[in-house]
Amino acid sequence: MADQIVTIKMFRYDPSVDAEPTYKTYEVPWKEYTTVLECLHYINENIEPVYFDFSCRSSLCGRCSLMVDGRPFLACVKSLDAGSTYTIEPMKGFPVIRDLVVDHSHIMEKVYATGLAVQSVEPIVKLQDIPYDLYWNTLEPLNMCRDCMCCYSVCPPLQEENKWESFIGPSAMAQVGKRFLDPEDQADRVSQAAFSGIFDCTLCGKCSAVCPAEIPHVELFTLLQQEAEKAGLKPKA
Amino acid sequence: MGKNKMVDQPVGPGDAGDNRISRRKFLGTVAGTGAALGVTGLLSGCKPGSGSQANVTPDVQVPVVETGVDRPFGVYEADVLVIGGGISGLFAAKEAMSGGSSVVIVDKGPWGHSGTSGINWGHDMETNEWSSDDGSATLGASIFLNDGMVDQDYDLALAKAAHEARPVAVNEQMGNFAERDQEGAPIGKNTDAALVVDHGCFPRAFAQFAKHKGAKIFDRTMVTGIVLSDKGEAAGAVGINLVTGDAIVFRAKSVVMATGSYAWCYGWTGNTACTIGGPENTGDGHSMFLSLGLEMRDMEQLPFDCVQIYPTSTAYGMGTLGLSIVNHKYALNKNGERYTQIQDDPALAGHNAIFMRLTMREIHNGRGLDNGCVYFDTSEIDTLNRYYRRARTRNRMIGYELPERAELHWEFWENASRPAAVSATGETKIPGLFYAAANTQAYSGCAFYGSVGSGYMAGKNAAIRAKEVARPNIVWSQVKDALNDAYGKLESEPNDGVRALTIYHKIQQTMWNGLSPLRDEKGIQGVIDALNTIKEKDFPAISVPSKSRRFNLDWRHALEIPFMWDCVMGTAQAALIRKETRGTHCRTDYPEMDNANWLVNTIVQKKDGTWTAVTRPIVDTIIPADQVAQMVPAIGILD
Repeated sequence: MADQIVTIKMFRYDPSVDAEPTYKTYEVPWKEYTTVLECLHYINENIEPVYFDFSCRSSLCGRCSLMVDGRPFLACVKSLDAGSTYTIEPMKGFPVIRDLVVDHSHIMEKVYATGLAVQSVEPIVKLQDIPYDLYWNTLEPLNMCRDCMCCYSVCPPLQEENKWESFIGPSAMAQVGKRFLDPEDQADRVSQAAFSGIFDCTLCGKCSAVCPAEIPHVELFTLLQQEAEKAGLKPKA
Repeated sequence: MGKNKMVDQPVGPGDAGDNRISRRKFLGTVAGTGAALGVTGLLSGCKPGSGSQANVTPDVQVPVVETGVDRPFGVYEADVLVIGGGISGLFAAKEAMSGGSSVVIVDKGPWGHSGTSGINWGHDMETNEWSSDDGSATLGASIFLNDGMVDQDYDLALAKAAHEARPVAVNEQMGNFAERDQEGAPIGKNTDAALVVDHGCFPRAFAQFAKHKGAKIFDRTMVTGIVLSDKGEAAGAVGINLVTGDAIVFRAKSVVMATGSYAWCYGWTGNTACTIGGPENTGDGHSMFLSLGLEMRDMEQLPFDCVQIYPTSTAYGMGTLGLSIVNHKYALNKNGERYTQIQDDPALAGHNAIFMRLTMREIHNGRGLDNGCVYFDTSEIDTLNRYYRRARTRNRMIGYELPERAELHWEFWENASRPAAVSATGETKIPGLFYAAANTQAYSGCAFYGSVGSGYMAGKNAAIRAKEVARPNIVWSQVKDALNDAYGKLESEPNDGVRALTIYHKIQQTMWNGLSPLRDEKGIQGVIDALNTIKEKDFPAISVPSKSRRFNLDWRHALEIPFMWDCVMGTAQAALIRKETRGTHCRTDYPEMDNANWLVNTIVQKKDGTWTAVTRPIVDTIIPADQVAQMVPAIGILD
């Protein structure tokens, strides 16, 4: 019944004891809609201890992000085909804590630094109306960022051009964009975008393509680039 | 040397004075003792005997205290220690910082993404902040929605605190957006009322705020015990950094316990416990309260609702198709019949516990599905954007199409218990130990309101206390015992060892077997017996397969097992003595709700390993119990 099996080739690494990472292959029973997360639990419970992070099982918390055959996914909603083999690795570009668990903290510092809350100094007295379309189709999707870091693992300016110093990256920039669109925000988010590397973004769309929250990065970053250019903040070529 | 020493002087910023130690002196002392110093900042490399005694500056005038702790640990000190980074802990931290306190937050999971709050599904926000009174009017709603089981003094203080906290306005200030309707208005419409509901709190924004405002965050760090001073005040906590395996002692003048629920103790499917909650929710705080000898109230109450269980990969996931009071009209029994018509009446329309009991009534009377629960009628699913939008995306991702009638199952999303005695300042019977959680408001469904109100109250008063009291000393034997216990679990190599994960699941299975919403005496007694066997036979055999300290999940489970055991045992003890149906506790052998005899709280206590359970009349200082009895509809599970 080989077709009722899914084969997982898994990255294994405990940096506190292992000289270098290894890959180990496991066979896991398949059933309809089997996900990567289910396979990891199966291996951990029935074959040997393996180390991974998860929480919500439903694509919301962002904690189970990892690479499947070189592309980032959330393990909880990446379903697998019977009879196939998959290579499961930790999120690309992050220090490994153990096996599939990585340290996001250096990116999270960039996210915190956007000052999501702290630049609205006047207290909100009552909630204001927001046009339904702006709320439902633009702002609400931006609420859904999971900090899963899928976008960082595929971003060419970061992963290929190494612009970590100048560009805060897709999800942190999306947070700046969210506040730019927020009628209540009192900060100059256009300047913030410009000085956080909005022009390092080439609008390639790879971030949106892998985003489990389906955040429209390209539209948002195009808008921020246009506004920054209008404000005279575009760097000279 | 072999022993850590403690320089027992207040030397942190804010404590400047004649006793203040110079940096040079401080460093010299540490180098010599490898010790724990009360200073704001984590000391790394505190290994016994590390460094050179020769570095000690000769003119140091600080008394050195033997800690007697023979394992290495670091120390971090702040005015206020908050344990748990969910919405309650985040409001506590925010308010404590506003009150001028330095704050350290310790969270078992990754920051902003830990536990149930950390799922960031866009929590409903029940609020009284637009009410033109001071929030007091919400007490009546709270009594009604919680079947009378409230401590009226505490709940009045909580109502005022929630009003002052302004949760919905603050949520938007943080950069989240509450839901707007087709006209662009917020769902709650800023209504001047005792309780209105908005939607869309994303705690990750509050987590960012806490970090940005200056709270020190230790995430992926598990607190294993509270430490007390020699006067019995809360003085801090012992924790293990789960990434590195290092031990840390957190010292504080006030401690806020905000660890959330123990819903993760219920069941295991192979992919998840039978809860929409998060895997951090193993009841650590509740168990620590019990271990401090505190009485716990109403542990039998585990609020539930019903969620999608197919496909199994997304079963019990937060934001799956779910039934609760907000969409009860889509609930169908096995015959395809609606059963919640009485809640079409506006007088009962908001009462979540009645919805839960009506669901159990169907099951108790043989109208449940083969899987034990009920259907969701999906015919109007396209109109349910708010509650179904994420599940729609998720089903598309895995290629699953919803059937016309989706099979659901109950899941526990909270527990309603808390320390029996919590003052109107949020303080427990342990001076300096504050309580913050959704618990007291849980079975009404107003978890957010409870989390915010209790968190705000605890944080505010923790900061006030921190200004008034001197830094408590620490009875270091507690640290020694806690570290020996924690590392002992990792190092132990018993003959015939059983993997920690196996015993962890055994406790989950035990709770599933006898503490589902429908219970009877035999099943509950079965839980108690099974737990006693697990303690006797399995606890000595707990084994952690990998001895690496680095992100060792079996070690974490070994540390969680006693916490889970306490919570399940406490639930069973309380469930056994409440011989009626009330709240979310449905006894098939006592199917009626009895306001004449059972308007009481259950009180469970663990002392010297012995459990006691008694009932005690509700605290009815504002609205007398006989009036409360008239306010609370007695709807049980009999047809």
